[in-house]
Amino acid sequence: MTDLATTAPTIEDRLAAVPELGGGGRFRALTRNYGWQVAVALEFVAALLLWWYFTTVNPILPRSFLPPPSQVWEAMKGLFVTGTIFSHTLFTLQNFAAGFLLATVVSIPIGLLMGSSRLIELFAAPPMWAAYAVPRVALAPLFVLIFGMGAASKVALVFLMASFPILINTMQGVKSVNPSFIRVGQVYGGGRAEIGRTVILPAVLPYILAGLRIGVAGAIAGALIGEFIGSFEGLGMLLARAAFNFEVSRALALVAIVVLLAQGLMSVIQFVRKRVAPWDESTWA
Amino acid sequence: MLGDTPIETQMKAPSPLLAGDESVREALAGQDKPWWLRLGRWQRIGVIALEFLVIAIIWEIAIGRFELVSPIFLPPPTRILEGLIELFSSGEIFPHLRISAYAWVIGYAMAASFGILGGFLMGGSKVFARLGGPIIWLIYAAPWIAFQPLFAVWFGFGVRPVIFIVFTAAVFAVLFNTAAGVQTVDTALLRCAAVFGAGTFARYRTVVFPAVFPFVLVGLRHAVVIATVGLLVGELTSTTVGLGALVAIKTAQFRIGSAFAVIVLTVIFTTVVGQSVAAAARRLAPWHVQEGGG
Repeated sequence: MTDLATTAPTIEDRLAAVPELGGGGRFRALTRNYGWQVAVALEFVAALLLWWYFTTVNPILPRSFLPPPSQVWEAMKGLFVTGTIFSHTLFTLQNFAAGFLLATVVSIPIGLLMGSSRLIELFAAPPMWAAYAVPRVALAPLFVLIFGMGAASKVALVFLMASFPILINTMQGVKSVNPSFIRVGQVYGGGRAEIGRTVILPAVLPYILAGLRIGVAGAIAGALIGEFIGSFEGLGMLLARAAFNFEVSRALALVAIVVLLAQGLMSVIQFVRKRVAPWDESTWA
Repeated sequence: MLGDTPIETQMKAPSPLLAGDESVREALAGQDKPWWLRLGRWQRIGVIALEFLVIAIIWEIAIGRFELVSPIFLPPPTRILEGLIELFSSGEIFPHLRISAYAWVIGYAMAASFGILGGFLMGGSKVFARLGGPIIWLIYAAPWIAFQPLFAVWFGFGVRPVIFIVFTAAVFAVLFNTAAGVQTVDTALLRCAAVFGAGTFARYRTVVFPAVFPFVLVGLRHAVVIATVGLLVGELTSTTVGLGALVAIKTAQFRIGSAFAVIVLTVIFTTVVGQSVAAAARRLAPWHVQEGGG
């Protein structure tokens, strides 16, 4: 779905490709695409200029709503120069890493089990779907109450938010393995371990990686929401506090940092996916 | 000459005798299947219902009676039920319910209309897809929860930032599903419509809309769940009225039973509304095969 949204041809494109309807050749399509890339770059520059223009030269936007780019840049510099950002980023990333690793280590084996045994699936899947239906963010205040304002509640929230996508995707992955491939493996005398390694693992891996990617998004959300609700440290806490004090430029700078950080973590998973499961051509769920 | 026929044709032979053979074989195969693979639909539901009952009873006894975990942290089912009754009988929940319903409906309606419109533009128009796509993509790639404090500053503390967080959370589900639907419209059908002289409007009405409609409904169904999560995220902090705020308040008062009751209410709400959209999809767009639940 995601790749489709940016690269798939629109209806206009497809009609244009029909020569009878006045479409061009392949070469023209190619040059047009470069033209579009330039246009997108110009668009972003224009947006930046408009932002600058309407906050400084002709300030119709109130500063409390959108401060000029220079102020956001100053706030960003301030965060780095004073060094506040580093310890808080470290805190958030530590919680993220701990919770996410825990979720991976716990969810993948359970997902494999639930996917491979119909008996386990019969009994374990319904409670799992029931738990999945619960909006887990609503448990954030409870987690802060139980595990305190420190790192423990955030790790638990990250775990909670990241584990379900990984578990469900792993389970679906195992269930999607083509049974005739397994039979072929058996015909060629493969044992359980060998079939697991040569047939099931390559088929399940793309699903697990897709689950990990969704899990990363959930984990970031969990880390942030935990810090919004109650924390002494972390990027989420800094962001919530900046907002509470109406420091919009600082809040914007922090949002930018959080977004970049999330993107970085996502691309790590994408990179791993390309290295570990290059045979998976499918788009991400 | 049986030996000359390829083995595949032999197996696919539409002989009633062979078909009969097949059913006999299936029946025989059923004999050595373990019981859990032989359950019918209702038997399955019965087993699962029984399982949930057993879980609830164990939960009740382990926590309500023996307090293996402090009931303050994980209240037993009866405590949650008590909390639910208390919330309604005291009338405490109604102002929260009203504000949340307001924020949810406005945010969801905004997300639905912008999502459908944007999805059609992104799937249909080249200019919009190429110029608008990257921007939409950039916003989508950001974790929307990070915008929550920003929205509170921009739109004031209260119900308005909640509406916007509901909108931001839900809009992309509708938008990307609609766009994907438009982008997967059968090109042959489009050409066919063009050959028969259909203009842009007629093409959209007869080919594109019927094809995209089921995708829109799938998007709307996903959006129900995400909008509710957005609602709770928006209300947990920076407001005092709303279901999310009620969860936070009840938790702070150590009345976890009531907090859980509110969460249960949101689960019931998303399930009922989500299933209604799915049912609407089955009724209104029966030509489209629904994708699996969950």
